[in-house]
Amino acid sequence: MSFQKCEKCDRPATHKFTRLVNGEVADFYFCQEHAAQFSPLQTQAAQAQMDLTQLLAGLLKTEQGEKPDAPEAAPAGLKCRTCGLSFREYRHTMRLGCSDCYGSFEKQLREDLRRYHGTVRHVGRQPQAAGAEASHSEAVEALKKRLALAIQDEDFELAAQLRDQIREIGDPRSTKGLESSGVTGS
Amino acid sequence: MTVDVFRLTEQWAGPDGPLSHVVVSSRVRHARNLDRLAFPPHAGKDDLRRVCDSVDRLVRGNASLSSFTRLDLQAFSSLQRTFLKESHIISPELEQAGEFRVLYVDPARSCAVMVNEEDHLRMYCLRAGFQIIPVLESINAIDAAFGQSLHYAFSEKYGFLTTCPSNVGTGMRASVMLHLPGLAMTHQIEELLKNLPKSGLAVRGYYGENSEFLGDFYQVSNEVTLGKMEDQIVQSLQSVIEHLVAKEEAARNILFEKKRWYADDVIWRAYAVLTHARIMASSEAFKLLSPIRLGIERGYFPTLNHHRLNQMIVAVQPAHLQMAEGREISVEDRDIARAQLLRKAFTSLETRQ
Repeated sequence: MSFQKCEKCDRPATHKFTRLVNGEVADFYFCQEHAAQFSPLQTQAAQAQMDLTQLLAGLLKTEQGEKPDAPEAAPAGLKCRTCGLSFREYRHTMRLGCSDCYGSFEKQLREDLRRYHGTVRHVGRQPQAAGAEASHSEAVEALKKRLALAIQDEDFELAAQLRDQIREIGDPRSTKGLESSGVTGS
Repeated sequence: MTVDVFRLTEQWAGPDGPLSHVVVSSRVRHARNLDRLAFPPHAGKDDLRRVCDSVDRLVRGNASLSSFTRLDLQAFSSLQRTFLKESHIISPELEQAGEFRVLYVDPARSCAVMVNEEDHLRMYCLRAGFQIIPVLESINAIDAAFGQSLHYAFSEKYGFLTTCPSNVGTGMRASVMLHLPGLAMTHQIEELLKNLPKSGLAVRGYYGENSEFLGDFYQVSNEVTLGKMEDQIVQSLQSVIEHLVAKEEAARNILFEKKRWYADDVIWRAYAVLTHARIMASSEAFKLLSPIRLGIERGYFPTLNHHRLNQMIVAVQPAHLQMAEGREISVEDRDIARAQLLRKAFTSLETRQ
């Protein structure tokens, strides 16, 4: 997609649209300006995604040695220690190679995660709890462990959330809170 | 044995669900990966095979999953795979097939697990109407069954690790397909949908990412997957949808009470074309079936219901038309077959003018 040109002008295409033409699915490529003309609403919806693309374009430049002062710039040749995927390739495809990529590119990925999600910390379901029926005290213990991690990371917003959760399910009579916290199995 | 999958009616297009006049379907999917194996886009055959083997073993040994049908996508023709995509049974990614791309689907075709999609496992539950919370519960039960035996790629910090970091954390995408002709006809839709991205929600067309808003169908789903609990995400989606449903109902009331001639004209004009046209493209069919769907709720077509209309929309898609003909046919012939199918369905239909 990054090599496509806009269909209305010579600028690189930044937006792809899928349309039905004569009953066939067809793809159209446009630059920002012509995309806005083609479909104002979809272009706006894609803007959040665009912001990220621009950030990535900036990062790629720094990788090529243009301006190495961005704090999240990836060292040239940065690769995943397990699968060998280069950070650069990830930037091209936005797809990681294996679960260890999250550790190998941790510093760089945090910026992406903030862009996508506004935060860098998981608070939802846990696999072991999803599988086995976690006991009430185990659930509280798991939350306390995550609270400690959050405080260590100085993520106070999350810490407050976890504290409230622990309070909510801390009362053994209140099983509703426990279920809705996703800590027990269903 | 595999023929069944092309005969059954999709559960989401089955009997009308809650608020089916506005909400077509509700869907929740979880993205999961297995630990220590390369993610599918970068995985070699060995890793892809290992994922398949682990899932096969698990499904065989698990009583609650043993009724699922296993479909090896490579064994299907591209027409059959497109058919499954049009039915919303598989994703466009899985439609591309390749080795070790497998689908497990339950007998009701309501829940399914796609193996070696963008992630090792993409499991979803899809139902008719507004049922986002029951759907979440169903998919959580399947996730629990898998999580018991498989070792998921998971980190305390980042949650379920996914191929694309935009899915990491809960790995959950909850989406609701809405039919909003009232808001479209009263020109309120752009303004309303414009604000959704600000609340962490995305709006897409009938065919998902980057697709056109055909026939006033809009898919609303959560964009953020990290830093929020599954229930929280689904509840905020639920309240936004409730708000949109109320707005749509208000718009329909205005249309039918204050602009009755206009509403009548749009509906009967669509009916007139559907009962007489000889050539019809997919996009035109979408455009015409939208006002018909609007008319159902107001009693214009006493014998037609929403799920029958949902099925019509699926049936006039290119691969569905060709499967019904039993062969591949040209675009021109498809447009003729589509017009014929709709003409037949609508000329015999009871109307109240």
